[in-house]
Amino acid sequence: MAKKNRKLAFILASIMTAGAALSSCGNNADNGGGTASTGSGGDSAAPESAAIGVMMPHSGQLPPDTPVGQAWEEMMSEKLGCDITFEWNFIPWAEYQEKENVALASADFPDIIHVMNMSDTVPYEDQGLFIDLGQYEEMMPNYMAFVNTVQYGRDKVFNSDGQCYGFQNVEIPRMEEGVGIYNTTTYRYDIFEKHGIKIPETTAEFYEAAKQLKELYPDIYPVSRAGSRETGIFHTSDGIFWDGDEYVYGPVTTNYRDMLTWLHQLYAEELLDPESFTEDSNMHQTKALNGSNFMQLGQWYSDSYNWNLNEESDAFWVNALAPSDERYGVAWQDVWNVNEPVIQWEAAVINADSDYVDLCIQLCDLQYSDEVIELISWGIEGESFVYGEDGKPTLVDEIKNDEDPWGKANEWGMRASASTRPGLQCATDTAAYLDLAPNDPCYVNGELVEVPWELAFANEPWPESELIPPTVFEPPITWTTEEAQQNSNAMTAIQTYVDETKIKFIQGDEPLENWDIFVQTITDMGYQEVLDRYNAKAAEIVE
Amino acid sequence: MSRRKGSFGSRMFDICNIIFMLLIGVIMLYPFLNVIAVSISSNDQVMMGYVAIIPKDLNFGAYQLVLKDPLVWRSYLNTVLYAIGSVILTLGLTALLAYPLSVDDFKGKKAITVFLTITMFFNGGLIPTYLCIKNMGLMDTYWVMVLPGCVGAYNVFVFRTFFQGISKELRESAYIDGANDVVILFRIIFPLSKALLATFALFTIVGTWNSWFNALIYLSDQLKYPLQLVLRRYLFNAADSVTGNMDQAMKMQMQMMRVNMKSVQMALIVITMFPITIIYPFLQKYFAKGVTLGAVKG
Repeated sequence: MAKKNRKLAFILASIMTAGAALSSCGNNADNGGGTASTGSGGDSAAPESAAIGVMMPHSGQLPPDTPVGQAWEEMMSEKLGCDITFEWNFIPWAEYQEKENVALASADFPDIIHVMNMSDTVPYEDQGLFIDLGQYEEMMPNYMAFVNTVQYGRDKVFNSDGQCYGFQNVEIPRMEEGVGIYNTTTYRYDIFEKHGIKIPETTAEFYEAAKQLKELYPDIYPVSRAGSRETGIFHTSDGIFWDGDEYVYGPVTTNYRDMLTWLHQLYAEELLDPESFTEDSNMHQTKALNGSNFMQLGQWYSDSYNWNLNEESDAFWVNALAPSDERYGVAWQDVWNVNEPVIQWEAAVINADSDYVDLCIQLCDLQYSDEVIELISWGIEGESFVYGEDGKPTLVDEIKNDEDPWGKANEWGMRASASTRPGLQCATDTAAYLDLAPNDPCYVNGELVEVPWELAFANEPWPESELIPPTVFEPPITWTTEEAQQNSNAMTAIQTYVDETKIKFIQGDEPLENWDIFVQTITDMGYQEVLDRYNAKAAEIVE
Repeated sequence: MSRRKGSFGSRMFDICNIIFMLLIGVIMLYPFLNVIAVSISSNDQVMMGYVAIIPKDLNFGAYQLVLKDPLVWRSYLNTVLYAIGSVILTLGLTALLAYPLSVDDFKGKKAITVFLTITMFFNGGLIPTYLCIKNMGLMDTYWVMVLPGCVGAYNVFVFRTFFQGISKELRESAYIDGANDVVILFRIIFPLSKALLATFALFTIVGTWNSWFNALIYLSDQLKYPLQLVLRRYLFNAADSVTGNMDQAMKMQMQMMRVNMKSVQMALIVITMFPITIIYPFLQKYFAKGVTLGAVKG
C-alpha cells in the first residue's frame, strides 16, 4: 500500500513539474488596460468604433474622472467621426520610467505609449516596434505646423534617415516678449536692508557685500553655491556648450579660470560655505532659514516665496539676477525658452502592431490643434475660463481667487492645475500656468517688487536680450546609440577629472598656477575629438 | 564563601564592552527618535533644522494628512494580506516540496534536487521573468504579489535538512499505524517543526512587508499597491518639490496645515514600521534561532 502511495506521489510530482515548465508557453494573456492588439497594423477607412489603449503617467488626478478629461474624450470621438473607447493604463509619475523601460524592453505596450524621452526608443527603433511617422507626414498637418515653425524643428523630430517615431510634446509660449528666468541668485533682503548693504549687481559688489557680512557675522559663511550656476556669470559652462557660433569646451577657456579664481577668493577668505559643495536640498533649506547664509548662487525661483512663509524665521529672501562680471558683460541667466513653441523630448509613440494606426496618427495629430490645446490647458470656455479684454484666455475668478486655487483647478482637471494632465499631453498652452502663479519677492532694476518671478522681466526683448545665454538656441543635435557611447567613453573620464579638479582649485588644494597643466591634461585625454564631432553635427544643421 | 572577583583585564573588557554597546545603541536609536520627532514637529521648526530627537512645537498634521489618504489605508490592508498570503504559500508549498526530498526512498529526489540547485545560481533576468508573469496572466493581480518567489530553493533545502533531522522511526511507526504521507506531514512533521515554521514565517512577513519592486513592475492598479510603494511615492513627491513638479494640491494642504513634507514622510515611515516594531520583541528569539537554522552543526 505504502509503495502504491509513493508511486502515485511520484507520478503526481512529475505531472506538476511538467506543468510548471510548460505553463508559461503561449497564452499571450491580456493584462487589462490596453495591451497591444495583434494585427497587421493600418486601417484604410475610419472605423465606426474603436478601442484604443494608452499608457500614460499621471500626477495624482486621473483625467477621465474630471470634467475636462470627459470633455476631451467626447471631442475626440466627435472630431474623428469614430466612437472611441479609451483603455487607459495610468501609471503614477514616480513609477513611470521603470514601467516604461520594462514595457519597451518586453515589447508589451498598448496602441499609444507616452515615453519620457525620445532617446528611450532609440534602442528599439530597428526592431520595428513603432510606427515611422515620416511616412505619414500628410496625415499630420497640425503637428507638422509646429515642427516647421520651431527653429531646427525638423532636425529635432526627424533623424538623419528621415524617420520620425514620436509625437513630441510641444509647449506653447507663455509670453511673446520678455525673458523667463528660473534659477536665480537670492539674498536675505532683511539683512541687507538692516546693514545698508546694496543688493549686488556685479561680482565685485558681490565680493564686497560678502566681506561686509563676514565682518558683521564672523561665525557664518555668507555665501552658498546652492545650484552651482556661477558659470553663466563668466559666460562659460562646466561641459561642452554652444557659444552662438560653435560648440566649445568650457573648462579649457580663460573664462573658466576666471570663474575658479573668483570662487577661490570667496572660499579662501571664508566667505563661501564649504558644505555647499555637498549639502542636499533639505540641508540647504535649513541653512537658508536659520541664518547660516545670506547670499545664494543658483536657487530655484519659487523657493524664496516658500521660505518666506515660515513664521518662525525672520528671513526674507528675494530673487535677483546673477551678478555680472565687468570682463564679460551681462551675466547669462538660467533662461528657459518660454517665448517660442518648444519641442520637448517627451513624446507619444504608436505601436506598429496597433489595429488602428491611421486613427492613432489622426488622434495624436489632433492634440496640436488650437481647440484641443485650449481645452486641456484652460478647460471649458465660460465655465473654467473666459476671454479677457485683451482677447487672451484667463481662468475664472472663482478659481484664481480661491483659498486653494490649485486644488480648485484640479477639480476641473485642466493642465494648469499641475496635478492633472488630460488628453495625450502632447501640446500645452503654458500661459495657463501663469494664471495661478503667486507673487514672488523680486529685486528688479534696483527695487523690491512683488510679481510672479516669471513675469519680472516681461519687458526684456526676445531674443536679443543679453540675459539670454546662446545655449538656449543651440542646434538640436542627436546621436545614434553608437555615437553616444563613443562620446560617453571619452567624456566620462574627462568630466570626472574636471569635476574633481574644479573643487580642488576652489578649495585651494590645487594652486591656480597649475592651470596650464590642467588644460594640457584635459587635451591629452582627448576632448577635442568629441568637440569636433559636436561641431560637425552642428554644421550639418546650421547650414 | 566570598565571590571570586574577575581579573582586572576581564573587568576592563566588560567596561569597554558596555561603553561600546551603549555607543552602538545610541547610534541606532538616534535616527529612530529623530524620525518620530520630525513626524510630530511643526513645519517651521523642521524647515529650520531645529528638530533632533525632541519634537518641537507639536503638530500631528502630518499624521492627519497621511491617514486621510485612503490609499495609505488600502495599501496597509494589502500589505497585511500579502504577508499572510505569502506566509501560507511559502510554508505550505515549501514543506510540500521539502518533505518528499527528506524521505530516503523517494524516486526522482536527485533530479529534483539538481533542478532546484540550478535555480539557486541562474536567473532568467527581469525581462524574461516579466514575460513569464505576463503570459501566466498574473499582471496587475493580487497573486503576483505572493506567488513569484514563494518557493525558494534555499528555503526548500533548509526545510529538507530539518525534516531529515526528525527521527525516521516516527514515520515508520505512523505508516504501520496506517497513516499516509499527508497525515504524517501535517500531524507529525509540522508539530515537530514549530521553530522552523515560526522562523520562516517571520522572515517571510518581514520580507513581504519591505518588498516593493514586484509591485512597481507588475502592478498598475493603485488599489493593489503595498505600503512600501506608497511610501516611495511620498519620497518622490518630496524630490519633485524642489523643481515645483510636486502634487500641487498636496503642497497647498501641507501649507495650510503648517506641515513639512519631511514630517509627512517621517509620519508614513513610522506608520510603516509600526507593526514590525511591535511584533519583533515577542519573536526576537526566533530570529536568533533562525540565523543558525541552516548551519552545519558539529
